Amino acid sequence: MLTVKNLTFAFHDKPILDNVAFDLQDGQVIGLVAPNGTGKTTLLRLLCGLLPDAKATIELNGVSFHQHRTAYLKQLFFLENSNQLYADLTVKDHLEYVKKMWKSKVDIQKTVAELGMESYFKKKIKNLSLGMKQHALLAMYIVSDAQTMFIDEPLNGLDPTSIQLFEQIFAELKAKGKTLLVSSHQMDSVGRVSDSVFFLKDQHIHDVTNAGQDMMALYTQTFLQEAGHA
Amino acid sequence: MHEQIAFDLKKNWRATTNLVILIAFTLLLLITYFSARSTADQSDNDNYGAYVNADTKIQNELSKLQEIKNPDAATVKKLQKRMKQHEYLKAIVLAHTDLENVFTTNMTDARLNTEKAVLAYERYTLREVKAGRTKGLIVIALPGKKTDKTLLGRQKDVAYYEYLVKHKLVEVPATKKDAPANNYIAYAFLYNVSPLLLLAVFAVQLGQLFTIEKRRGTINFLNIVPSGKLRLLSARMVSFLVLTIPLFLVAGGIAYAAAAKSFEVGSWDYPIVYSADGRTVSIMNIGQFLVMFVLLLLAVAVFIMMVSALVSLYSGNLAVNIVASLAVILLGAPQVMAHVPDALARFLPTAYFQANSVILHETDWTIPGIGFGVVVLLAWSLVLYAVCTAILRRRELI
Repeated sequence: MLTVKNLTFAFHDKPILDNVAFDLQDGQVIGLVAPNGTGKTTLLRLLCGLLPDAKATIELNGVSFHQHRTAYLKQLFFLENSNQLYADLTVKDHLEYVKKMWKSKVDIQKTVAELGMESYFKKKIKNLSLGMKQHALLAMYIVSDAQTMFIDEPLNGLDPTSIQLFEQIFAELKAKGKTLLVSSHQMDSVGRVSDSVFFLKDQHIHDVTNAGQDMMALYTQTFLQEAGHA
Repeated sequence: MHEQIAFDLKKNWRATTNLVILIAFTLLLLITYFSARSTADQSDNDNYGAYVNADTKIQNELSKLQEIKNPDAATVKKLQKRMKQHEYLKAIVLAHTDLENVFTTNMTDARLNTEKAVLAYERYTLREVKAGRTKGLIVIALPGKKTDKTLLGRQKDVAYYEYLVKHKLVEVPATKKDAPANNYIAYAFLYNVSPLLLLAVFAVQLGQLFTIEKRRGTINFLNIVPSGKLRLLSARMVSFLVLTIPLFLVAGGIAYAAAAKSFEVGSWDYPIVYSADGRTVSIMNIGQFLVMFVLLLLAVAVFIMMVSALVSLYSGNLAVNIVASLAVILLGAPQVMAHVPDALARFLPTAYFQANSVILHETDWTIPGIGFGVVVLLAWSLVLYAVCTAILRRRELI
């Protein structure tokens, strides 16, 4: 379980998060939704320590981020986007590195087969399309076998078939007890995979349980109508 | 940590920068080679000119002395002294003339005979200096070599030619462009390529290695790896050493092979004369010099690596990293070190950047020894490593 308390962050004078607090239970998929520039990626970065925040309490399964950073990071995986892959290395190089560093027992070949990546498994990242890179990214998440996964815009550049595959993978990971915090703009997909949705608005998180409601309508109601009124 | 090292090597070993660094090292070491290929070597002529010049000076003095009618005892003594010097130098010039003689069949013998004649004159100058008779003493001023009329200077020259004659080695002047490969590579480090230039090439490679992750944005991936960040930084240091040392050695190998193919191989026993204490003369051969030079230069490179690593923790800008390293390297220039008190200089890493001068104890500041220098460099490197450790422990971000 991920526990976050007192998370506040401002970029220069612009407040991004104000005293945010939430819990993520094991075996949950949570959607993270907000317009661009609101702070979704900032929140994910803060939870990984990529941005400094000394005051917040962040614990993953009882392991404090501030006190036992390496043990904390061992339990999570986050790679912001495919630009953070090494262009001159192959997909295989990336997966082998993740497996070693996260000391995972996940079978790389099995993961590659599951994601249909056999044809470009040994190709360099710079020679892959955006969709292929997204598959490589997801494969890294799976191979890390981390308990908690922060996934930022995973469906960008994917065709409908791949989107279905990704959603299926998310469901499988959830079934294995993994916790997924998935940032996305694809509200229909968020509606299909999430147990609850975090709407990030006015520096706070509004936790909405997914009871099958129309997420796009909810998004419009939360962000667009208010903007329109303003 | 070996997983991280393997990954870092995989990331970096095919980088274009490695090729650029290899070319830079190779070009620096081949400057004299290209010069030798395009222009004829003049070192024999230059040496001959130096012998003739010395003799001409003496002959001019002789002529003036001989014109004095009814010379006094002092003048006669002076005349005798000049005559003696002239005899020595005439022998050298004559021996050297054999090199130009079409009937000379064994050039090595002819060169050794010249050396014997030079040795005789150098021994004479040593005796004169020991006896305090330095006034009017002519010392042969060979091109590319400091003229040193002191007792130590005379001792060095005598020791040098004694060694050559004893080991039947042909003299290879410092200015010789087509020097045998062994001398070529040693002279490149001794006279032709400043160690500071070599360090500058290291600085470029370091700047690239230590900033590339921040410039390409892959640093965030490394920062979420469940491993101590000091390990990641240390792995990068190992990558630098594993990649760059072979590049430097390969460049040396290319320069050596080019010289060996075009000229000769030569002998590793060729002497380099120096004085560690400023009183007694010692001799090392060029093989020993090369080993010491490479070791000392690498110790300096390790120190510069720590500087680059430390800077990289605060800036991912390539130019900032390189300029910071270059600024530190320039602190090792003799013009800068001349302003540092002698008692302090030996404890500064910058005192050992001019590796060639340090090994030959030719710096303006006192050097206790090469081993001491390596210890100082590694100690400072450890201090910088400790600073990096403290920073990474505090912020846990590389």
